[in-house]
Amino acid sequence: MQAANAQPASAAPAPGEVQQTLRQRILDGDLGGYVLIAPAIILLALLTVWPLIFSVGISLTNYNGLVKAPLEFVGLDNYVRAFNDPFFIGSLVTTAKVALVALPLQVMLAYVCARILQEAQGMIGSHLFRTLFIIPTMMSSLTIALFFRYSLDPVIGVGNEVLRFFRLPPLLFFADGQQALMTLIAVYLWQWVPFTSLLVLAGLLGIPRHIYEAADLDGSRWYHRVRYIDVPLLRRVLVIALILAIVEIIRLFDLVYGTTQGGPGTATYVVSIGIYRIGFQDFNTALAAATSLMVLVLTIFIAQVFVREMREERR
Amino acid sequence: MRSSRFMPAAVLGLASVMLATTGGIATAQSGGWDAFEAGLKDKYAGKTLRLITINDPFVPAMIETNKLFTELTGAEVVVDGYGYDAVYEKEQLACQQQSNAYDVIVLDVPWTQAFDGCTEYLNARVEAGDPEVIAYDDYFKVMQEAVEWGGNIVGLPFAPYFVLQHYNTSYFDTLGLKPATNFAEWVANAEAANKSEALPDVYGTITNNQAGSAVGQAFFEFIYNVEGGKPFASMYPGCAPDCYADMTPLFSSPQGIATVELMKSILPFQPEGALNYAWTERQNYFNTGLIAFNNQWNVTTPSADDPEFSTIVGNVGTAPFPHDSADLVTQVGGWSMAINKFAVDPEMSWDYLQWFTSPQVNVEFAKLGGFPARESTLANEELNAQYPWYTTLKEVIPTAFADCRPRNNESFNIINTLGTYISKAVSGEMTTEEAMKAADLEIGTMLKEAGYNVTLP
Repeated sequence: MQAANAQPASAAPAPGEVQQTLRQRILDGDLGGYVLIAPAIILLALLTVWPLIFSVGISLTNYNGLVKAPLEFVGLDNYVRAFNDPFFIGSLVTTAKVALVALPLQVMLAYVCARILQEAQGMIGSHLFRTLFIIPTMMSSLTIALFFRYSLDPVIGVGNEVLRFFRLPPLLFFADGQQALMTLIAVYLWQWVPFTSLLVLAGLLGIPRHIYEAADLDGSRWYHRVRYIDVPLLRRVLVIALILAIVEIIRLFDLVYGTTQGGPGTATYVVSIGIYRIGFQDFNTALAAATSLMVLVLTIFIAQVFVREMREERR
Repeated sequence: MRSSRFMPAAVLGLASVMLATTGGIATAQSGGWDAFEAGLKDKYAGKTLRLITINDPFVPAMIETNKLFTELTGAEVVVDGYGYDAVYEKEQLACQQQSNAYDVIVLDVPWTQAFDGCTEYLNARVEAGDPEVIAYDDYFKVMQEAVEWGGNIVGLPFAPYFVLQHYNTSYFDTLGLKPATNFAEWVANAEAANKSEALPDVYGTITNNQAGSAVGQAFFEFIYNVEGGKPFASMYPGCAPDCYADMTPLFSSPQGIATVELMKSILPFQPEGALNYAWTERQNYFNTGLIAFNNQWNVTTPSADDPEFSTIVGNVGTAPFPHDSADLVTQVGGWSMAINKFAVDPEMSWDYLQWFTSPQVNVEFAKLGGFPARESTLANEELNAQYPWYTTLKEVIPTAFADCRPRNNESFNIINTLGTYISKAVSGEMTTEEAMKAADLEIGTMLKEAGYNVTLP
């Protein structure tokens, strides 16, 4: 880059020099960076940008995989239809309920777990414990769904046996319209709290010890440390954790598919299940594209709110 | 929507059926069959035929049967099995992408129109084929109807299913119960088994209650048998040639409401988790003796009497589905084989279809754990001795209705939407009337937009 900049702007290169300069610019870094990332950019464009553009195009047509009708441009009809679809709107509401309940719990539990992991550092077996702790996040969601579907079966599952052992009343878990969503959220938290905990732990380990020591000298209690040290200094980590959690909740599919298929009734009918049914069972591809894009826009909007918060923090 | 049925080589077909049912299949068809087999000898050595199918209990029998095809022709048959939803999605996507990844695809009855255009129509091949090998009229009549759409033969049947009442004979003897013939008896049997002190750990029954397709499909098992109900204005047994002429939904009709109320009324006699149960859980409960009876596809019948999968071996009885309507209507489902329109080698696929679904091989397939698709197979004495429940099959097959569940493009959508609303009613999220009226409106609107004749409420 320096070599290229060092050349006088007005100097006209001889024909032979042009190639040499181009090679130099590639080799020395002016264009080299672009050349190096070009394959990745092209691959990314093929795998994400093109399908996105294609989805937008499809969403404006009447394309249906089952009905072999001529392709027609229908404008925003599919978007209007999605807004008028009670199941789609209901699925957005259910997803919002999951987010509203799960997100605060996820962050709080992750913080508590991270604190425990931090305190346990250096103890015998702490590395093994940390490895075991992260296993739920590494497991396939569908495996987890099937595991809990049978473990929490009200009759043959181990869940009610545990409750009985503690002299607690048995529950219906996934088989009840009132309990199914809470059970689903509990399973989601079981899977994802460990991952969030590791993020928080990384943040906690980055906070200098002397800040805590100073707070101790000032006679602070544990909740003062949480309120005035941990939360402010972990804000960026927490924002990242929240963005990832929101994306995960919007993508929540395997857990629901493997446990309740959206039921009982529409108690666990989240947005991914709704789009799956439209796209892969009804094969109403255009409507599925429209609903997917609406969810994508919503996700970007929510993520932007948090990203803006992070930028503010950086300033 | 559907036109007249196709009846190839009726005379020869009928003759083969008559001879087959009197035990003369080997001699009656030996000429045509022998020539057909001789023609296949090493014909496809070194080639591979790829087949996609549901991963149902017949697959091990299919794989064993395929070994005979490999021995005969030299062709390797690769079978890819998937779950119900997954196989539908994969086959549909393959069709839309015009993929040649599979030569033979396996189709369920309600998928017929959805795959119309994805498979090669077989009319010409059936007409030109050896009637002794194809014996088209030997297929169950209901399956001949089920594999046709608009007069075109989409596939050939090989493993049809029918819904039967399965009951634990030991429990029924203990309680002095008989298989229900109507729904009052059906609910009473469930209550008696559930409350019995003699069988303290046994529940009455389990129905398909899981939201979506499970409970949606259950509705279609019941509706025709509840006081002469029907799901759509022109969908009832005998509606051919056009069962789709008037698709006005009748889910909120008195019979529709009564059907959902019936499903609700039996819920107290089911295990506590039953609201989230579908086919697999129901079968597991039945096979482990936790319920007294179970209305299930006959695909599950062999497993209940197999010590590898069951603890109630020797205690399995079957009976027709109960009904309050004058005539029983039995739900039919199950599988046919079709040639992928984009198959690499359609000739090999056709030879395989003819061979696998032939009267001779259908018997071998059934012996290995498959299912009869033909009258001759059902009449086979050896098989009748092996599977006593064929007696019930013989009783119910004439009552089966090909369009029991819609077979049009909108079938999945109808079943899913209806199933979601029924689940709302059964779980108490809505009243039955509210749910069924909402189902009428939503499904009716969808069908009207799809071009059907529908009168909206």
